[in-house]
Amino acid sequence: MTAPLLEVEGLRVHLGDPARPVRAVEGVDFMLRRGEIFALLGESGCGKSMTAFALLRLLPPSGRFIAGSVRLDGRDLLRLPEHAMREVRGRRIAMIFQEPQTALNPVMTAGAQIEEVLNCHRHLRGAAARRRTVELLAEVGIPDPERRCDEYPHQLSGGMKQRVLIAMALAGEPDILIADEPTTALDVTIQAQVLELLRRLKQKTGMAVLLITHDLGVVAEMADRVAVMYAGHIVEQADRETFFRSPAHPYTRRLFDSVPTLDKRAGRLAVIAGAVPPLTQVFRGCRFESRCELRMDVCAEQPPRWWAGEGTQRVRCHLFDPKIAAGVRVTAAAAVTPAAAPAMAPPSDQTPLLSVRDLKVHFPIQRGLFRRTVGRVYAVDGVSLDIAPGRTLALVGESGCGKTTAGKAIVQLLPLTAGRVRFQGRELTQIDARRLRRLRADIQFIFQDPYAAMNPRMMVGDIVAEGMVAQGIGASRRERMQRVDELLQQVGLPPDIKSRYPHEFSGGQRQRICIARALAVNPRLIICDEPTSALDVSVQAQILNLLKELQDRRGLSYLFITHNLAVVEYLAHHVAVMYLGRIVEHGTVEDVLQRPQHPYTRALLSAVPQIDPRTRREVIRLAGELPSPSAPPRGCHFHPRCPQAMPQCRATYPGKVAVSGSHSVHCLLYGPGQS
Amino acid sequence: MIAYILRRVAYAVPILIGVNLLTFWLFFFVNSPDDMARMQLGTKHVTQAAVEQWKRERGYDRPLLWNGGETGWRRFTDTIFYEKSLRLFVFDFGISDSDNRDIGYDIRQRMGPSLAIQIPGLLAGLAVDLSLALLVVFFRGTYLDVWAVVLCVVLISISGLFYIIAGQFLAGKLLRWVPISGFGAGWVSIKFIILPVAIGVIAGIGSGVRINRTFFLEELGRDFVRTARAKGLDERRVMIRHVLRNALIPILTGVVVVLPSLFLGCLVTESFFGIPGLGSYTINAIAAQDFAIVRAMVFLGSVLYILGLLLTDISYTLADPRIRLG
Amino acid sequence: MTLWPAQPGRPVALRDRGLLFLLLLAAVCLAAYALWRPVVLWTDGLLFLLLGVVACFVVYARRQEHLREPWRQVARSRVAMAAAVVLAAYAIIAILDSLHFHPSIKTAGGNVVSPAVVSVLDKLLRPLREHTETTYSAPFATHAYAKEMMERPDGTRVRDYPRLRYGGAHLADPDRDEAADVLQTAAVAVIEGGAACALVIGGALMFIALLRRQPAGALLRRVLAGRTDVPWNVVLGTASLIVVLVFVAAHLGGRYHLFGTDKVGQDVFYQALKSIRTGLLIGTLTTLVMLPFAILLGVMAGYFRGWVDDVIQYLYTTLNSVPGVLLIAAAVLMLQVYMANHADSFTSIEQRSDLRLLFLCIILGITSWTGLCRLLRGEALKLRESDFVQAARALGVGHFVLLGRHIVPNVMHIVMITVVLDFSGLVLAEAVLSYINIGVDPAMNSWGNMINGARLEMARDPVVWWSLAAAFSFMFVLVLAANLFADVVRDAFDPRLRRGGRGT
Repeated sequence: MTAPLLEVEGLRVHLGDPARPVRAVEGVDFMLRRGEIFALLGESGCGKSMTAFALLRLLPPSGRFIAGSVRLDGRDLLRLPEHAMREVRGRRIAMIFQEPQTALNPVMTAGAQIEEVLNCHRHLRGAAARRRTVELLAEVGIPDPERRCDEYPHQLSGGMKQRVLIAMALAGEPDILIADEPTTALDVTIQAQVLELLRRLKQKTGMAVLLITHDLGVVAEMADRVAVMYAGHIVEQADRETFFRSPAHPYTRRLFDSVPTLDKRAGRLAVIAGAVPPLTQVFRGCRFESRCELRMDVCAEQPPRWWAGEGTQRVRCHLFDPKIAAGVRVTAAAAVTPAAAPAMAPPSDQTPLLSVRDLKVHFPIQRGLFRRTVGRVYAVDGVSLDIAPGRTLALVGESGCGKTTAGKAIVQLLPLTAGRVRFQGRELTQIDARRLRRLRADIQFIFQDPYAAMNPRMMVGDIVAEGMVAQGIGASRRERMQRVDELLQQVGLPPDIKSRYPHEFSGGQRQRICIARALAVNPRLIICDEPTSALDVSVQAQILNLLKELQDRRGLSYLFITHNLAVVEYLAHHVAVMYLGRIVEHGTVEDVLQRPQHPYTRALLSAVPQIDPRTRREVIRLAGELPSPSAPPRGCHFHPRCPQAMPQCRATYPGKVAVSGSHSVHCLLYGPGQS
Repeated sequence: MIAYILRRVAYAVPILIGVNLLTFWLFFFVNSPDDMARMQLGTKHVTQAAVEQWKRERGYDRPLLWNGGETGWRRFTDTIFYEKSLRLFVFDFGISDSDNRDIGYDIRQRMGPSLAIQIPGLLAGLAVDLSLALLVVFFRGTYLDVWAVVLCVVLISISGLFYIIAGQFLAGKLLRWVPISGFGAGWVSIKFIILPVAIGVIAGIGSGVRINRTFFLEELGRDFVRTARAKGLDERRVMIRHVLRNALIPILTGVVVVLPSLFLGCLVTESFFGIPGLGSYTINAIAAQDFAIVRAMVFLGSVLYILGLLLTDISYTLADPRIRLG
Repeated sequence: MTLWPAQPGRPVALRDRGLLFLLLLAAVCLAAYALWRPVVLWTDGLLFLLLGVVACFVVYARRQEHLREPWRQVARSRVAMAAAVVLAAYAIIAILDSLHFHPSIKTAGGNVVSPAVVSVLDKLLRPLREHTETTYSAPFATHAYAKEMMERPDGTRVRDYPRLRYGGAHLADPDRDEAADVLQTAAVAVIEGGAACALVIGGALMFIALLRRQPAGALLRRVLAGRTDVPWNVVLGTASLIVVLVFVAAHLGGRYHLFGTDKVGQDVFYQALKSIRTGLLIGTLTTLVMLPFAILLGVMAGYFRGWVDDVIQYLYTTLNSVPGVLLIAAAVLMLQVYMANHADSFTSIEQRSDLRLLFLCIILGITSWTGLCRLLRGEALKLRESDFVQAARALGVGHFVLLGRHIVPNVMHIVMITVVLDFSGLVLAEAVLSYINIGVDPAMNSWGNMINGARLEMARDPVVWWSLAAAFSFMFVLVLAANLFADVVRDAFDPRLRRGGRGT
């Protein structure tokens, strides 16, 4: 075992008003060895990004160090003068950021931004710098690096920008790379590429990587050692094998349980009650105490110290105090089994509730003197699907594939270019505006971002009642407010929040309010547009449980739009996979996820980071990125990236091929099909 | 690019037509030419004959929109609307009401002095405001920053007229450095230019520094500035290469929009300092109630403003690589 | 901590009672004034309408958390509250100056109603108004500015500075007594003013303490130390300072010309006070005139898009493309022509200059609504695509309900910031416009007219500086207070700044 490269001890960082500080980082200790990947795992707001900024002394203006040391090769970085610190940044420790969209300067070319590092740390200028820049871009896998060098960030895709950022970090040949959620903003297939790249670079250069993430799957695939952060400090540290074999801290265990998977679909997901406590308070006892199911009297009184777990594992929990009975731990393990399975949804052989045929949404591109339409963005280009009463259809695809557009077009929030949408036998596309407004009650929409989905100027009661007023449900305000009370209780919120404003609630609570608002008009179908992707895993579980419960109780149908395959496994009955505006594979959840047929579906599934090493598959690497929907490739849209492409794929778009009674695919590997 | 510019020019045409109709309505419908004549002739007991003569001398004796007494095209062209309003489109401004001078000639003569004040004023003001703002931002979060902002608010609260009167009094009368008003040809004019330019710059410091400071602070908060710091760049390079360069886009395009309008000069400055530019031309016209000149200036002002908008759009596409023509 | 009782339920009731009391007081004042042969000029009426709108808005805003919270933040700022008190003092003068009536004059045959129009302020400032000298005199002067031929009691004729008719007329030997007299009068005024303030504030505190059953001493200490939610110490301090200044001005103003006299011997201090109404009206009525257009058109253009957007955009681009000064110049010229040719339709000078002021407000409004309209259009375009508007559409909410409930409330902060920021600019613009003779009527008291009249006298020797000094300093105090207040309001309402404040 090599000597530590970086040692962090008792790091404390406060933000904001000194009279009422946010204690973002409160006593963080860890160390980093040469050549290892160390993962810092935690939900949003736990202080992990702030820890990363603190290592480089790049705190926001209101931030300040309270205590602690950060020693790089024995030198305390917090005590270095600023000019010496600049020698460390980029040269010894480099960093890549979560949002490649905003982390690059929009008015400088990609090459110029990399050359800046070369100028500064490697004293390369002119042609030499240029040569090295092209080399670096090639090294991070950017095709045609000579040309990309002179392009501006807006000309590059998200994955490409993240590669440029990585190249920029590598330019100083650092010993440590801090990667702050490097793949959160990227799609799974691109995420797989970037993670692969990071792993390869680490092997090649021998640098240490501090990987900051909220994704257990990414940790499982990447890290050598793991530390779990909760509410400003680390609660558990272990090597990867131990961590995934036997997670110790009650928080970590609940986190594992709340990840949705297929084998949990029979029951409810485990949830962690409540939300992360605000970091403005001073904690007396354990920080997890208020949400812990295994809390003891001592938890509220004394902060737990570090105790040894298995092997190198260390846990900050009173349960591991040898003086406390071992029996407690056994009951702890038993407490997380799922509740009894409720009755499954009714069978699906009824007439469909919603039937969409050949839905097309094209946006014109106008150019020239007279704004002639010179092209179209084929956002949705011929989508057909059926949803039966009480069933869930998941519409899966990566960003830019048109799934949200399709959802909005179905509820007539966007004008259709072509196609038919029949709901309960009525054609929605040919209905006049007034009748459509009445019918809107039957199909509701839940948005991705619960922060943006509610009018910040309205009180919760009025938000929930809005649909009732518009649809004439409830005779008087009194009656409506009574119903609002019932609805809020149904989604697990106390009714007395009616006169409060949305900003007072956390993301999970807001999404519940949005669900209550949708339920208020008694819909038959709810279109859920990534309703959990803005939420933390533990909160996601609460919302998924609620959606499932409502389906069982009210017989609702869902069109569930998502990129998260784990959620699909847990919630959906049927799955449709979308690629570039069209559905490429359709079937029951078992069909598609267990026996994927389309090469794209296979690649997508293989790219999802798996927590359980047994289910891990060989990642199918896809060449390039999603083409622009304004110029879809001729023939099969997928053929330029397909590992199994054949010459005829270039010529014709494959028709529908039935693999089994419930499973169909659009791929020439299975025959020409019928179009 | 050419198609883009052509389209923008095409967009400008209906707007100019609108301005033309607006001025026509304002100058000939709100008050009839008879009313204007009576106003000009001043005395209360004006004979109708004097009014008719005044109108005839200036070509206001035609019908407004439709000349029934003529034939063919003349029915349309021999009208006030055609002669006085439509001709503005070819920059034929006609003659002035009060002293029968060629307005087009006067405007050409007076453009030079206006620009001689406006261009140095704009450049010096920009340089001073930008460097002061950069300095203030460099010391952000300190007392210097706080007091600089307070000082800016105080400076903004002072009337522009005060700057001019106090400046003239101080520099011209007490210190006797430069003449307080007048204008000369060639290099002599410098001594007449210095004072108005300096006063213009000082009067603009408050608002200029404050707005540029917010532009800089906005850019400073962006993610790529953090990236630049994480690279190990020093503060000076971060400020100049990353902050200033991005902040300059809104600042410069804000300058471009006023560039054509510089021709018009500044009404107040020019009248105070006795500069024979277009500003004082307008002021004199207002004082003499010369409607022809005011009408010409209104139209010219709109043309220059629309030109400014066009140049802004073009400069955006040049300065900001994100904007693509389409 | 607030000055109001902490028990739930009571504070609201008490505050409502306070508001009710104020409304009642205003109603009584209006009723009393109505018995008094009132003359309501156009701008007076609009000013009262504006006050009514503001009162309605206050009642509305108190129920809206998103409006109440930023205003509470404004109320907590010391700078803003001090500025607000100064603005309130200006506003009170302007309101007093807007209550016009026909005075009665004593004639041989008893009291008759005069055809002249004067305001309550004129009545209060009667000594200032009536103490006119023959020509210029410097501040606190006892002798005229220019030498005159005078006949001595002994019959010899000399050329000397004559004594003023009113300024320091009570002094036997001005050279000897003036300084002492001024100091003594000022000291008495300061003491009286201070005592009056102490009495009123003390009484109010005692009353509140009694209501809340608290020791008055503790309350006083808390207020003085600034341990209250609203910085009452700053509010009361600023108000006391103004009251003391009023006392000093009242005492000295009757005996001297505080800011001298102008060319025709009118008191400059009186002119500066009268100009307050003009400045404030231009700053506020302009906004009142343009606001409905800007909000309605801006929001509609952004929300409906399509041809509605095209038409509205064309409208404001066209108006905006005419340089503001030139448009105002053209419009005012036309107004002059109209007024000159229809001189018979104006019964009095007051009426004519009042209409001209109103017209100036309208034309300034026309030139300034375009900026706000464009801002609102952009914001409405963004809001239209926002999830919560889409959600409302998915619920079947109609267009106009949607506009009223989702779009307009979410652009109100922009409106508020613009209104407050525009005010100071408009006050300054009045001076410039009046200077180039396209502002208010030359017969009207305004800072611009004062400056315009005085600037030519800068060439005299000794310099006649006092008119300029008075106009600039009155304007500066108003504009500075407005700017400081506007800064705090913007910080409180700008969501971008607030987001930055919370951070992650």
